[in-house]
Amino acid sequence: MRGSVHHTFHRLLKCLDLRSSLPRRTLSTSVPLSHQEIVIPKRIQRSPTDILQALASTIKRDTSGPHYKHHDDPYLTPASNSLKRMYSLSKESGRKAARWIRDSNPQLFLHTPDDPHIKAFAPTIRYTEDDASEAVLRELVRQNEVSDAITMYHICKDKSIDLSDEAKQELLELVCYSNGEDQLEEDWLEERWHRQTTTTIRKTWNDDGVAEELFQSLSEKKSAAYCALIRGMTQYYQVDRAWQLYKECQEEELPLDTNTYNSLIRVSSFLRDASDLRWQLVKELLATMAESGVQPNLGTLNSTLEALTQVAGWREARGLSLQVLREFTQAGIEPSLATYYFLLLIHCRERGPVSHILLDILDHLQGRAFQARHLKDTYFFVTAMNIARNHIQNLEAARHVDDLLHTDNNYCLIGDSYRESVYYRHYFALMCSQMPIDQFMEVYSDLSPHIYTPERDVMEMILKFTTLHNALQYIPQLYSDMVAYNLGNQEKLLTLVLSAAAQHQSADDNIELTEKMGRVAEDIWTRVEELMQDKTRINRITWTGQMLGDVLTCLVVSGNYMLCQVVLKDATLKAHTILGYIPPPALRVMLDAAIQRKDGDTGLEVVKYALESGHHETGELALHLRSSLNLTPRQKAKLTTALGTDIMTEAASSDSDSEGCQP
Amino acid sequence: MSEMWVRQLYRGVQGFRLHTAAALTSEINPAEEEFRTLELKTVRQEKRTMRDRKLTPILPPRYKRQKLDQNWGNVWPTARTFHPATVPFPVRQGYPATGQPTPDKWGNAELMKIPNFLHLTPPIIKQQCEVLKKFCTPWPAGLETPAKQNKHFPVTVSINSYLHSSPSLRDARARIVTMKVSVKSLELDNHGRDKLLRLVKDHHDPKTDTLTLVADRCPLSSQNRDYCTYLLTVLYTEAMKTEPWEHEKNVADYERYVWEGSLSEAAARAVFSARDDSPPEHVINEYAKAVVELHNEGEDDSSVSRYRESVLKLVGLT
Repeated sequence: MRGSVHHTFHRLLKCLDLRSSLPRRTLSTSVPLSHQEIVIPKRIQRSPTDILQALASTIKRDTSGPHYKHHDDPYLTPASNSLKRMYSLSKESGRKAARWIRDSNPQLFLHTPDDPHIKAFAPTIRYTEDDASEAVLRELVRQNEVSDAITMYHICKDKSIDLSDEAKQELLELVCYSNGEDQLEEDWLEERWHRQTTTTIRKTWNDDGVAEELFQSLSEKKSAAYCALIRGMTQYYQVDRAWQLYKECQEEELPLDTNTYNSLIRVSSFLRDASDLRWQLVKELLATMAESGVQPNLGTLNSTLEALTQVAGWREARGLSLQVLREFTQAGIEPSLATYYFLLLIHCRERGPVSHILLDILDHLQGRAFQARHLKDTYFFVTAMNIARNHIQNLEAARHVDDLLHTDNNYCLIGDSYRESVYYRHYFALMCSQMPIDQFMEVYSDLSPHIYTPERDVMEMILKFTTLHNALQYIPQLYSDMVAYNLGNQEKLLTLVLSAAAQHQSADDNIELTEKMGRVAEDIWTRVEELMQDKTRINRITWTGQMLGDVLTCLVVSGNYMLCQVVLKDATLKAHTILGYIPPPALRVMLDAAIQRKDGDTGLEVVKYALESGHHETGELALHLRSSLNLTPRQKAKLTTALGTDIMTEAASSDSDSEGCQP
Repeated sequence: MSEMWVRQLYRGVQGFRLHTAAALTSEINPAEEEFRTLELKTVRQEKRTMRDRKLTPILPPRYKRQKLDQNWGNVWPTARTFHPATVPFPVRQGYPATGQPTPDKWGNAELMKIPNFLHLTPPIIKQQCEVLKKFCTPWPAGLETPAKQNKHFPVTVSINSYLHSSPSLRDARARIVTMKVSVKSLELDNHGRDKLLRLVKDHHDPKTDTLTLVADRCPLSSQNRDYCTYLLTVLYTEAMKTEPWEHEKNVADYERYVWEGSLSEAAARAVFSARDDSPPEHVINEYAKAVVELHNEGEDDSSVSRYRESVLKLVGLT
């Protein structure tokens, strides 16, 4: 789109300057020139994107539509978690494909109209064996291409190309940081967002990697090399070797930097067994730091607290953690969210005493804006919500956590999609159990499906609570949401929905709701039948008697008699595939409906089913049928063959029972 | 290729030669040289059953979830093609077919083609202005009216910059600099003004009395700006100077008609001296004014009639 921005430097200039530099003519008239001093204020400096950022700050997330990365169209909006994942990852795979095409055909991308040149658009340069040199190696290291750099290093070695110590140091740092493995590029946001990292702590350091080799090949092992190697090893939990190197440094009196000490403190619990010995080691390291004059930083604070989380069971841990926090704050180090995360881990343990430190932390942090300053900052919000739900069961605290998350740009610190879903899972569970159901449903309608799609367990909880609070008006919405979120084939959830729907009592003022319930039952019936016939599915749903009974009740109540007959017939025919039997109350309801419609055949079927199921109430049902309806001789004959001649002669003692059931 | 096509080719379709015709003819089975049956209907291949695609359940359209008091700016933050499921109000556009109402918003290409300004509702504009205020400085005191602005800053420099939706930032027109000065503000005397106007010729607009200098000869706009300043300086200094040869300016070079010392004055004086009486000064002045007006501003009905009046007064015929 072409546009022109018209700058009028309208009052900037130079006229005054112009006149002052020229020979002034004396004015013939002596008018006193009352020159008011015109002060032009200085232009407020702004960066190229400041205005855009200011405008962006006026916009918040709108919950009525999908995330902006998806198309805002009813047919293209993902509702379930799997669809969200699929859509965003497939979009990114398109970008990856484009990049692959560009990089595999660089001869097609020689036309570069961009001025100034945009490096990101140009194909990445692939180096071959022939261009092996130190400069190329350093370039690869700078571009963060780990495997390529290692290969280039080996090529250089084979070709006996001498590498300077700086180049080796750079490569050593890269290999230690990445453990010799290629890291996921920063461009692939969706993959990073959906990546699920395992949290198990085990040694992953590549002992046979190129790091040690590089280290040994250095002509002079300076402290920078030791620092890099120690940090890399502690990162990937090769603790023994790291400790060895540290000891070497101590002997040779090489200075180490802050972050190296931090990394050693972090893994100190792997070097000792008993809690007090571990803490002693941490103290020793801190003392060594102080002696060498190395200034502590935020990393030191967080590593110390992380070490304490490893000994959180020790009774001294809680007091020590607070002491540590106090000392570091006095030393001028501002705690980050990771600090508070570790504090929560230490104080609010599952099998420990209840601690309300979360409330104090939230009071302290209220309304503050945070940036990512430490790797574990993104763990704070999830943990806080977890503790609010499981440890202290406090809804107010949860609300404060949520408010904090939504101030300024703090939402960036939610981490990745898995952590976000866990956060909302805890939040929903807590709200469900503690809030009045109407309020909860408001929040639910607001947040799902676009911010958070409930998983099966959360949905189960919601359904249970809705039934508990007798808020059956929400059942149709919850059911349709369930289907949209790809939970429509979960047996447990369908059972809950059906039992809730069956509890609904029809009245004059809720005809619409009754209809909806009927439709829900119908939909479930058709859906499950379809699923049962689909031979490609591995885990299919089996009907239980209770479910079928609920289906029947709903259909009868909503007046869908025809479908009831179909259901009953189906149940009778496929009785061997159904788990259990339709319970008597449901059969009773069905029977009453049949009686009301004077449908003797169906009534007989009900009785037959009851008999085959072995219900005790079969006799009652039969009597009720016989007394309420004038049966044809054929029907009477059927009844007699099923239940014996007594059924005909027994007194209508069940007449009194036959009142009142309005199908 | 189905069998029918093969058979057609074998029969030699008129004027239609496929390069593969030879290959096909060679494939003909010699055992099939009996009379072939004409099959008008192609034999259907066995129908490949498509795997039943499970329809993903569709959520209701977005406008159904929107509350009445929502913040519209969050829903429609930037300029966007019209989308009926997101816009909550019913709107119709287009020429209706006979007997039909005006087409509604669903699938309405007319609505999608035109620009909508849904991202610029007044509350949003207000919000954005509030946020942009921190980049603005107050208007300087003492420059409230255009008169004051022109008094203190009579020179205007205009430079345009261009924005392209393309990888390149460059535009050759961005180097052009326009400088406008009101000649009155230069406070030149008559000689200076005359000289300046002769130097600049077309660059001066007599209606607005502005001098416009446009520079595009240098590659950078800052250089062109400096050049404009230099030009203005040079013009001004030249106008202030008086060259020795300027005294050679004679009546023919005058830019305006001057009555004093003209033939018209000589003729009038001759008439008066002949008559031995001269009319009062103001009559002569009026006549002089009329003549000057005729010469300088051109003839039109009012100026000619003024001349007539003044002549009559002069001659004493009124």
